[in-house]
Amino acid sequence: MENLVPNPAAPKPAGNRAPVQTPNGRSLPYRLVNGVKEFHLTAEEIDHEFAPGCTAKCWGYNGSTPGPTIEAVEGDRVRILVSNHLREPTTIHWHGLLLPNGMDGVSGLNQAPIKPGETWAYEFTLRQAGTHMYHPHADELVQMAFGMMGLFIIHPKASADEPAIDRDYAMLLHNWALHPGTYRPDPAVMLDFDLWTFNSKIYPATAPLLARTGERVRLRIGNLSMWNHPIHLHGHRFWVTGSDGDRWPRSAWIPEVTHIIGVGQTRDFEFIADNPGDWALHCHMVHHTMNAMGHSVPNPVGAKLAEADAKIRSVLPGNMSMGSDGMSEMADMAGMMQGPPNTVPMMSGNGSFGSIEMGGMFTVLKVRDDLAADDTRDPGWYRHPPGTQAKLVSFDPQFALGFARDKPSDS
Amino acid sequence: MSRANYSGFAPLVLPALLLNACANIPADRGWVDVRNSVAAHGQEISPSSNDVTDTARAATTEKLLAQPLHFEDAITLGLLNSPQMAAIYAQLGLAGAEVLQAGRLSNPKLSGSFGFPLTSGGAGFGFGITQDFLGLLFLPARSRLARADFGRAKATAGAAVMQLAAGIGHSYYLAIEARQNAELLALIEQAADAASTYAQALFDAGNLSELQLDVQKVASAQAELDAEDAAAERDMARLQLNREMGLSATQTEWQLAGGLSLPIAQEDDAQQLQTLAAAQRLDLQAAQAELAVRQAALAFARSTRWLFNAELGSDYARDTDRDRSAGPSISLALPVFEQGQSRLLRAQAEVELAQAQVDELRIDISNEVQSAIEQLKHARHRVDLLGTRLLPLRQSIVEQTQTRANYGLLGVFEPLQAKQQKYAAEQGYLNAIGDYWLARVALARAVGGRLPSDAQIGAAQTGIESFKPLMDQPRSIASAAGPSSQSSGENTAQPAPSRQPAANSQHAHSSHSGVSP
Ligand SMILES: [Cu+2]
Repeated sequence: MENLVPNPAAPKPAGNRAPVQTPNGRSLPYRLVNGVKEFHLTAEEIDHEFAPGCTAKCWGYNGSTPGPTIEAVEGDRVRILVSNHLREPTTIHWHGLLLPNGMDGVSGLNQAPIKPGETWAYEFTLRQAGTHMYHPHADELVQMAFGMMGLFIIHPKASADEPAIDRDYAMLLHNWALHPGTYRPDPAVMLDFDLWTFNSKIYPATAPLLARTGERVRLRIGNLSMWNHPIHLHGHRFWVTGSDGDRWPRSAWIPEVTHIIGVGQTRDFEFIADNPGDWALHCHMVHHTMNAMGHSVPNPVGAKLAEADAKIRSVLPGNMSMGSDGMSEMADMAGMMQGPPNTVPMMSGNGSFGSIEMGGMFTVLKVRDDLAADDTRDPGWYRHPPGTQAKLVSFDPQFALGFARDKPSDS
Repeated sequence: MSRANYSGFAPLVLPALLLNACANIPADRGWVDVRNSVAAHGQEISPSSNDVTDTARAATTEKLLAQPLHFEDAITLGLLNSPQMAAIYAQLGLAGAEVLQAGRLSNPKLSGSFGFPLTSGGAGFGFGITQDFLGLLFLPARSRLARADFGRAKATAGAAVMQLAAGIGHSYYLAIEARQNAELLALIEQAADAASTYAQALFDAGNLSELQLDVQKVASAQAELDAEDAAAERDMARLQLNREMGLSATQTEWQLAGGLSLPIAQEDDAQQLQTLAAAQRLDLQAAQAELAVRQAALAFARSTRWLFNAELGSDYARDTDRDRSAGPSISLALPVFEQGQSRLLRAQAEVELAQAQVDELRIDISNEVQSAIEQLKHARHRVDLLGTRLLPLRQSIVEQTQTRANYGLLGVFEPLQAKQQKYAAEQGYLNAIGDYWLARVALARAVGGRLPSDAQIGAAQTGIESFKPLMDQPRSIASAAGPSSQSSGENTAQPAPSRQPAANSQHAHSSHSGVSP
């Protein structure tokens, strides 16, 4: 094991390439065997925590979901040993990689399945770069619903990206049918998922992404869920610089603030973290930034509930009728109330100004002027310089400027 | 009649009068014996309309009706006021009359004649007095039989009192059950109304369709209808009890105390009850007395087979010639055509009939006891299933749906629905408990007296308790964890606290803690 590389970041790779960071995850160590980078993935059942108060029996690799990120360099010969500790056969498909047909991992099509207890070797030479993924291609519906997936990142053979990347983050999007009160995802669900995750974590358990002001940040995002996700970054404009088809020519880069990452796709975003602060980074499907919630709950907004409430409480003294003014109350109450077992509030998280009212695919990009290059500790909430923050100007509900309040005209 | 001559038949009449002196009945017609007998069977009569004046009866009735009625109060009132008690007393009078009649000779028959001579001379006349000779001869035996038959009549009267009390007890439990059932259906109606009101508010805000609203409204209307049915049943059951307590329709301003209580801890041994029933059923004793009377009658008929209608008489005649003649006379039927066969056969058949009735009653009693034991057993089992499994689960579902509704995972219709289903389960529970107490009444009726296990109901306990507080509390309250602040949550009326701690142990609540619904 003397050749084991515990973290590719430790001996900094050739050139100035930044190590890939998998928030809430890690990269997979390898050993060099006669010039071949040898990795070992073990498919197994795991106990996974989506956030404190919400755990489940999931399936993953090497004790986690997503499995560890495989990092290698274009041109490397890799050998990936796959041990099956599940009670059913599996395979691994190297999603997006250019490789011999017999290494592609589709059970029955390209190989016989890896039976429980067996270890198989996949071996091929990397002929491309970019952000890729791996996942099973045997009983795929169940095994992916349970969380079997990982990122496969191939660095370009060239010594460095141009311009150089200072922070390189990688995230995998997924959805889970972990119904309230249950402890194992439900593979039968096609649409009504309960949890939406960045690297199998729901906000507020998603780790923040850090950057020092002025650093060039790359965000690699792969989608192995069953929905498309418009990923939106606040306070910055990013370029979409790459996909499963490797880094795009600069002329093809797209400046955006929101970019849809389709099912089975990967995208690389790059941006200069030139705007200090705490910036939301999230999927823009609003239900995807919620945790488990009722999708067929009668809508109470705008209803006059006084009489009904009195009657309901006479039957159900513990009833908390909420929502006639909107659902914010839910987030405020959620922290105080006991939900069903193993179920976190649909929205929560507290910032320095109150409830953040988010869940699911949400995290915070923290840009700071004074962050050391290798500092990965959470710097806490941003302190806004004077004059750079919205402020209260009136308590008067009838507040108006010197002219009539702007309204649509009657026509 | 010649004063000078009546002494001629006096010696014949006097012994009969002396005999009559031995065949009296008590002035109370044996009522005290009946009272003591039913008291020995566990049913005190304190007092009855046969014991007190109407004024005292009215005063006692008024006093009892002023308080919520417990099981024993209802029976006391019924035994005090029911005209059936007077009828039972009257029946004793009829039986007593039989005894008196049997103990006395039939009155002597006086016959007289005038004769008008065809020749000249004064008119002549004569008279005679005859007495049923066999009646005289059989008098002691007939008295004995009649007194035995009076014993039968007292047993019958006791049995009737026990039946009356059991009937009142039955109606009492039905009335309590009907009242609690109506309360539960009113609660279901309340929950359905809450859901409908909520739906209306959402509809008014533009958030529900008319179809969704109508689904809630129709459920509410149906619940109201069901509650109305239950209220009608409650009123009918109440009136039935009113009637059986011997009260008029103007005397309905009474309240039932509490609600049905949970089953007692330990039921009576089945074999013991069978033995008890065979030994103490008053109607069986009456039937056995009847048999004994018939057997004695048969024996008597056999021993007097050859004696037929015999008449002993005294004749007196005075003729116009003023000659007088006087002297005893006897007439005997000759056993030429009738030799007593029919009398024997009738007596024999009556013995057989009485024996058959005793035998049938024994079989009936044995099966009645067994049937009531089975009813009791199954009702207990249902109470247990409902109390330890169904209700805790229904309660848990209420709590869980409430938790989810508060958490935004469900709407409020779900916990309201769950609460209605819990009430429906409580209805089943109530029904099972009602069946249990009705089965105890049936068992007591079958055994012919109060059950030994009635002692477990407790001195202060009169056979009824409310189980509602137990059901409406969150399950954590009933656990060993002790009182909790959640217990005051229910809006429903809180009946008197349980006086039957032994029964509470039947109600094994999970210690699983939950949020009060
Ligand atoms: Cu999304």
